[in-house]
Amino acid sequence: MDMMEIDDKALCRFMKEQKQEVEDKGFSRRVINRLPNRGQKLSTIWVTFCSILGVTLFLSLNGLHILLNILRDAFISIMQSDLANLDPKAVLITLIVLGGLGVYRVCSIE
Amino acid sequence: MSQINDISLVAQVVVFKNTKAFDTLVKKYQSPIRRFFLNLTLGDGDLSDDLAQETFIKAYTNMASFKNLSSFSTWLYRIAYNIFYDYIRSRKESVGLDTREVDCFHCTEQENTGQKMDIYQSLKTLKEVERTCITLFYMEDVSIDKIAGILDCPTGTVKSHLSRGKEKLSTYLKQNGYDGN
Repeated sequence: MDMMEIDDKALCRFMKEQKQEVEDKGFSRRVINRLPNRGQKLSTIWVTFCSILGVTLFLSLNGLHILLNILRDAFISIMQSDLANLDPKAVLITLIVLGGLGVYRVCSIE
Repeated sequence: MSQINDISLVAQVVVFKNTKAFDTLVKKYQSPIRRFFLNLTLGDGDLSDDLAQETFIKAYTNMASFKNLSSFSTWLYRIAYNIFYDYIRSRKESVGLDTREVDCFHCTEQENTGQKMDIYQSLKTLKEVERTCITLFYMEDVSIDKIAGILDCPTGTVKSHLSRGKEKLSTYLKQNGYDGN
C-alpha cells in the first residue's frame, strides 16, 4: 500500500463519521403535494361534492315538482299554439343539435 | 421484514394509488436519498432536494414497473442515479462545463480540520461515478453487486471505480491531516 494511503477500515470509519440523518422538515409533504394524480383526485372529489350538493338542493327545494309543472305548462302552450306554423325541418335541426350537444357533454365527463 | 413491509406498501400504491402508503415510503427513504444527493452534489441542499423530489415522483409514476428483482431501496437508488446523471448531462449541454467545473459550481467551501474534515471537500477530488460508488459502498452499506445494478455496469467496473476513488480519497485525507485513528 502507498504510504500516502490510509487503510480501508479508516476510510470506512471516516465515511461513517460523516454520515448524518437528514431531517424531513416538510420534504415528504412537498413530495406528496406534487404527485401527478393528486390534482385529478381533488377534482373528482370536488365534482362529486358539487353533484351531491346540487341533487340535495334540487330535492329539498321541491325541484322535481317545479320541473314537472314547467314541462306541463310548456306542453300545454305548444298544444294550444298553431301547430301548422311549426317548421318540421327547423324542429328536426334543433333536436339534432341539442342531441349532439348532449352526447358531447356526456362523453366529456370522465 | 423491512423488505416485506416495502413490498406491501408498493402493492398498495400500485393497486389503490394509496398516497398514505407512498408517504410512508417517502418518510422511510427521504434521508438516505437526500444524503446520497448531498454527497453527489457536494452539499448543495436545494439542488439535492429538487433531485430527490424528482426521484420520488418518478418512483411513484413508475411504481408498477418495480418487479421486486431487487430491493426497493436499490430500485430507488437506480432512479436517483439516473436522475443525477441526466442532470449532469443537461448541465454540461447547457453550460458547456466539464465535470470538475460542474462540481466546483455546486461545492460548498468549509473548513478542513482533522476529524471534522468536510466530506464534500474530500468527495470533490473524485469523479461523480467514483463518488457514487464510494458513497454507496462506504456510507450507505450497499454491496458491490447492488451498486453494479444501480449503475448498470459489471461488478468489475464498480471495483475499479471503488479502488480509484479510495486511492484518491485516502491520499486527500492523509494530506489534510486525517490519520484514521
